[in-house]
Amino acid sequence: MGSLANIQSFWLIAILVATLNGAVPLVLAAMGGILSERSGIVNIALEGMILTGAFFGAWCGQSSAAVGLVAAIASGAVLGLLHALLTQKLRMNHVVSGLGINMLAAGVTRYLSLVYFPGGLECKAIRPIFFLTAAAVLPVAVVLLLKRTRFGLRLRATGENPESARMAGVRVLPVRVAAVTLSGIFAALGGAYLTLGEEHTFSRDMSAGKGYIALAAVIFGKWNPPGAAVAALLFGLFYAVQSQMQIHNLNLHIGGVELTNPALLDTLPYFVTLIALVSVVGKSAPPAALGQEDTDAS
Amino acid sequence: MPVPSNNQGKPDQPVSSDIVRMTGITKTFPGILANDRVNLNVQTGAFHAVIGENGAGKSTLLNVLYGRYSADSGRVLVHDVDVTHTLRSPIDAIHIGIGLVSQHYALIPALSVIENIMLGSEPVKGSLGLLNRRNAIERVTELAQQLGITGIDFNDPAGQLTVAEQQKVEIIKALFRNAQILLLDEPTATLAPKEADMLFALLKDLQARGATVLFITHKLREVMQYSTHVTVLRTGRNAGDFITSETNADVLLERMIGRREGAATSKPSSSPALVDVTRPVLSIDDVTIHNARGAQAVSGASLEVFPGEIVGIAGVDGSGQRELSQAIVGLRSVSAGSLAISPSDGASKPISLNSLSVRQRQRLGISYIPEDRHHAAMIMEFSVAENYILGHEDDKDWGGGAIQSLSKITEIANRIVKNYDVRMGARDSSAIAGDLSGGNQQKVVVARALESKPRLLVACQPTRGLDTGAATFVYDRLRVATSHGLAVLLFSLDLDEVLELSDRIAVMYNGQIAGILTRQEANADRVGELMTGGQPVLGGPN
Amino acid sequence: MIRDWIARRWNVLRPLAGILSGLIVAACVMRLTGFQPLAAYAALWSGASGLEYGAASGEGQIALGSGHLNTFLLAQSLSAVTPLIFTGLAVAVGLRAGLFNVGAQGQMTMGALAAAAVGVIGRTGLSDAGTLNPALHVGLVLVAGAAAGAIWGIVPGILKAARGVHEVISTIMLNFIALDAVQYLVTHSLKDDAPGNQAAQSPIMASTSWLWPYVNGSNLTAGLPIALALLLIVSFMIKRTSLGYQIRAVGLGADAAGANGVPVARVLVTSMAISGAISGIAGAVQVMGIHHRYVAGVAGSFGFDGIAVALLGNLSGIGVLLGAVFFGALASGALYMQTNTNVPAPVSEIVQAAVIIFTGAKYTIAARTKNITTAKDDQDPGIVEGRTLAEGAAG
Repeated sequence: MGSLANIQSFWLIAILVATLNGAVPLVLAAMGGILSERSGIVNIALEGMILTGAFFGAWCGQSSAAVGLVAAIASGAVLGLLHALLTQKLRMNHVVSGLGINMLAAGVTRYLSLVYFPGGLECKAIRPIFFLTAAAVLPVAVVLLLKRTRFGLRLRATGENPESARMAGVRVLPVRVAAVTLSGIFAALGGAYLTLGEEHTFSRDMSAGKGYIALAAVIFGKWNPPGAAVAALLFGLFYAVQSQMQIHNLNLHIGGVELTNPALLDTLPYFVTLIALVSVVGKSAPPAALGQEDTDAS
Repeated sequence: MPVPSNNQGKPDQPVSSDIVRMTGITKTFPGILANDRVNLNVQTGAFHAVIGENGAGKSTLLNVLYGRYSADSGRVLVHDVDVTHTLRSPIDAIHIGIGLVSQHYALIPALSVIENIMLGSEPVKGSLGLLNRRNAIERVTELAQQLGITGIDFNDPAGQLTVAEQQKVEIIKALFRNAQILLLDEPTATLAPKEADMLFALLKDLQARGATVLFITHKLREVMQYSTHVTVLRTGRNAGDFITSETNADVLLERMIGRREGAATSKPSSSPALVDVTRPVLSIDDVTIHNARGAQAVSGASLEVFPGEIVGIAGVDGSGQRELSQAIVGLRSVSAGSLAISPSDGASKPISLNSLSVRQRQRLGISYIPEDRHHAAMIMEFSVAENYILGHEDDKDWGGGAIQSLSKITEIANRIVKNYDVRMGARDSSAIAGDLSGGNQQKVVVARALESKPRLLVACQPTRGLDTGAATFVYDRLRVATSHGLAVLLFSLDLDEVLELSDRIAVMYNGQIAGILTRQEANADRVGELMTGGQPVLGGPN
Repeated sequence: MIRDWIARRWNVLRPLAGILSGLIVAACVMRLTGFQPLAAYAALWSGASGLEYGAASGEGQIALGSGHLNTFLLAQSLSAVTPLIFTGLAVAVGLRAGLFNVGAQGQMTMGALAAAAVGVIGRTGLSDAGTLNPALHVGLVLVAGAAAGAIWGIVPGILKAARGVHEVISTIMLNFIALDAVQYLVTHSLKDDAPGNQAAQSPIMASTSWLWPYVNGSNLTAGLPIALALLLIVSFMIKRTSLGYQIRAVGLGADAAGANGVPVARVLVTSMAISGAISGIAGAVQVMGIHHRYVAGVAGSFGFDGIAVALLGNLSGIGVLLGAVFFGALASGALYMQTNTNVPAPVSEIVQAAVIIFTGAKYTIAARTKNITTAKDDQDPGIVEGRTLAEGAAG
């Protein structure tokens, strides 16, 4: 009896830990995604921002984790700034810019790790509790930022209708640049968690689609921080269940299909997001000016 | 008596009495001379109207004053300070006490009313830029009380407000920024007459408190009833400055529209004998249509259009014309009622259109001139020839088909270019449509519509933005086609155009057909009355 | 004057400027990391073109002036070009209709899997000998690949047309789903059950479905002529047929197309089906010519690279061909460069990313000229057929 209860509670704790572990980078990147998208800029560059944050966090975190953290944040800010300038100043299609940044991040990190760390890149550790706290605080902070501050109000207005915002006396460009730069910082923080907080080593392409899943969480959460955080937790739970099933070699077959297969469990976030897009997320949910070119009248 | 009009500001006027002086404002857009050396002087405390027809350049002038457009040349003085070079954005305009109440889309539906009001001028506390919402609400509530505005919950999303409420909120928004000069762009275009009167009462109250009001309109009644001063614009130029009490509506109307040939008199046209009133081409029977937001845009409209006649649809913008035209061509579904077209082969029963696609309706003889030339009528990156076969890309006679015949398409398009006098420099129909002037683009659209040999043409704002020559060309072509039995449904916001072309005029008001007048019954006053909710009148050949 | 000259030749100058900028950026990166960019690019060029220094020695080397042509290297380069022609074409077809098909990757994966599944038909026992007529079998496998890719493309097309779901998001999701689903299948019902196999791969295909290399040991197969033929067919379709006209019309002006009777929703779905089918064929050709079975990573990053190809090629047929040649040769040459100069091959990815970023700025020009403002209130997202595109299109 007692040992069974112990095993159960052990299980729960293991799943909880694994869930948080999987969710932390998603939450951080999703908050970045929200800031960018609420300001009207589609951000599929989250993936590249995570990867870059992970790499520079590890590189500069070889001797000091704090330096690594700062470097990760700086690298994310640079990519955010780049995305903002490409889309706003050069009026590049948001998706093209995002894909370009993702390729750049993949190429640069692979190249540099081959040049400098052919034998692997190991870094100092930051306690996961730091990132966990950040992931817990950030959704609340983003809500407050959006709802309670001047910057947040202007950010939302810019994402709904930049022309109206301009008519009301808002300078749209600086607002968007700030929003997307912050977006890069948060996503890179999520990346830093992967190296500094979790693995303590960098491996190529270690973002492994987390940026896209974070974007899925943003959509699933209807562009609201609490919703996106919950979605990220849910996706984290999928990871956790999947890894626990694997560890304990649990199988569930229905009609010859092994439902508990890790590959199939992996698809859950994507399916859930697709279904959300088709049904739950109404057409009114995304910021009205998301992804549209800002036809600056002046 | 009219004050001396045209050109030059008045040097004998005391400088200090003018709060706004705009001199020699010229503004061009690609292919359009919107303002041509326009002068505008507004006295402090005036209730100043800028009046003119659609396309007269009123909005452009207002937007220059609000810093949205920078003029190509000319000077702007506000409070006797030359702001020509410092007025670069709405932010600058707000700083010097100018507020704009725009006709459309100024409020962001997803934000709350209070957020909309304070956006850009937010009261904050602390260095973090925290919004001082309480302070904003207090100030706004006070403003609302002073103005007698009630019934608006400032925490509601702005999207829930009625149009009239939105306008009130916009006025509060301007005053929240301490605007002393209020600009209003066609403030009553989408208001019911009673709401319009209430709006003007509010504005007069503000004027009494010292504000200067500058509004643009094309409605003479508003000008005569409320304004103290009026500036008339015509085709981008000054056409007179008046003190309202010293002029009258006839003088203003004449200045507004100039002497236009054939206007308001009977004109050469299809002989009515050709109109076959026994079999309507199009029957609109008790039709109800919903707009994009799910609101009822047209309710219970009935109308028949007969071969060989032009039926004009008049009405204030947004009275349901757009939805009705879209429903007829198949771009919008009908919620109730029926649309039917007579069969082309002379068979007995009309064919219901309700469930047919645009393409199927085209094949039954419906042709369409969309109002939005840039987005709905043409593909600007396509060549003239490619645009010409849009809608006929499957049609062997036009060079279309599963595999298209480029040589045939080019040959036909070149012929049309010649026949319709489409001018585009030295090149032929391979010229890119976007490089053509608006008039020549429209000729291609008209050619495409008429050469489809339709039985019914739905023409929406067919001459909007065109110069007189191109407009006359379009009119002539429509008349010729009508004389050969074409039925035309003409949707136009230009009342003169409707009066000039139509054999019958149906007037829409608030989603309903308020009345149908024959040419003999129709005049500007009568139609205008119906447009703004006057008594319905029965008429027409049935 | 100079402005006019540039404007008239912008279609050609833009990609050239993009390529040049990309090469310069990567050169800077190499310089900063302690390499000699010129030497690296020289090696890359040798690897890409097969033109090597030194006298010809051994099989497959043809003397050419003071150096020689290494036909194996050239063949490898061309084999790297092949999938990019397919995926570049696929992305271009989507973009012609105004749809950003980021899902070529997933569609290619599904095509590869279907091809591998149909490829085993007629094979018995452990041998790879097949019983089907090779021409028939090859045809069947290609059709299977095309069909699987088309299905994976139709789904986002329908979601877009019917529900307004943005195709970029849905295709990204479908990429991952494809990858995971295939991973499951090749470890379960489509597992290679040859004795001792531990890898996640499908069984070997019957040799009747293989495409054979033109140069011994290389990966250059009939895939290249297939790609070129498809390029011609699709270019003709886009330029000369009614369907192609409709696709272009919807892409450049969905509202105008809809107002003039073009069935916008159907055209959107059709273009996504075509795009997916082309990607699917890309997957099929890879397994038929190179791996002879589905193995993980068969789609490489070709789907994403195809986006770079299509953008660089300005969506035109010849542009896609040149773009594919550039990026394919770049990737192939980079491997040679890595072995000969120690400069890591991902330098080619940096070039590619920089080229995308620099050529993407073309939207600047197009957007500026397009911005002849018409009143925004004229746009009405409620129009029955135009509806699908009015909802938050990404650009």
